[in-house]
Amino acid sequence: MQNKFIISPDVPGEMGTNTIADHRFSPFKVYHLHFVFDSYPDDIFTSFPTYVVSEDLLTKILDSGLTGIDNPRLITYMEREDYLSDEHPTQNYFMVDFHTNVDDDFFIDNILKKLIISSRALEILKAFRIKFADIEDYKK
Amino acid sequence: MNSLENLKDINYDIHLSKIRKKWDDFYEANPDGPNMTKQKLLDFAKKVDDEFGHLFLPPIR
Repeated sequence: MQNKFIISPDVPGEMGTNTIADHRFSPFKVYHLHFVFDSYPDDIFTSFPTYVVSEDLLTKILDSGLTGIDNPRLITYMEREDYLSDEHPTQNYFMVDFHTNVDDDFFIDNILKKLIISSRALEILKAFRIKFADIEDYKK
Repeated sequence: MNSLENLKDINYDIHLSKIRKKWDDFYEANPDGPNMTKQKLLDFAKKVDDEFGHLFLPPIR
C-alpha cells in the first residue's frame, strides 16, 4: 500500500455573509460559499465544513486522474477590509467534496475527521502553493 | 477574546493561520446543534488566548 498523509489545509479567512448555508443539517450544509480572505490563500484551503481548491489545482487533479474529489462548485470571494497580503487572489476557486473511500487519492477519515491524501496526490500538491498546510504521515 | 483587531498585527505565517486552524478543529469537533453553548465557545476562546495571547498586539497574556 502506498504511503498516505494527513493534510490540514490553510484556513485563510472565513465565510462571508453571502454564504448560503442550511443549519437543519449537522454539520451544516453549504449550498453557496462566499469567502472573505484574511490573506492570500493556498491552492487548497478549508473552512469547516468546506474544502476549496483553486481552479488551476482542480484542473491538474482532474487531468491527472486523481480520485476522490467530487462536485466542484464555484465560490465567490472578497478580501477583508484590512487584508494582510501584498498578493491578491484573482483566479476561480471551487468548493469540492471528498468522500470516505480509503482507496481514493483523497478521502476523509471520519474518525480523525481529517483529509487524507495519497503520495501521488501529495506530489501534485507540492507543485502548487501549500505554504500553510500541515502535512503528516497517516498511519492506519 | 481573540478578535481580528487583536490579530491583525501578528505574524500571519506563524500565528493567524494556526489560530484559524484551531477554531476550525473546534467547529469540526463540535458541530452546531443543541450541545453548543456560549460557555463552550468562551472556554475555547480563552484556551486560544492562553496559547497565543502573548503574540497579540498588544499582548493579552
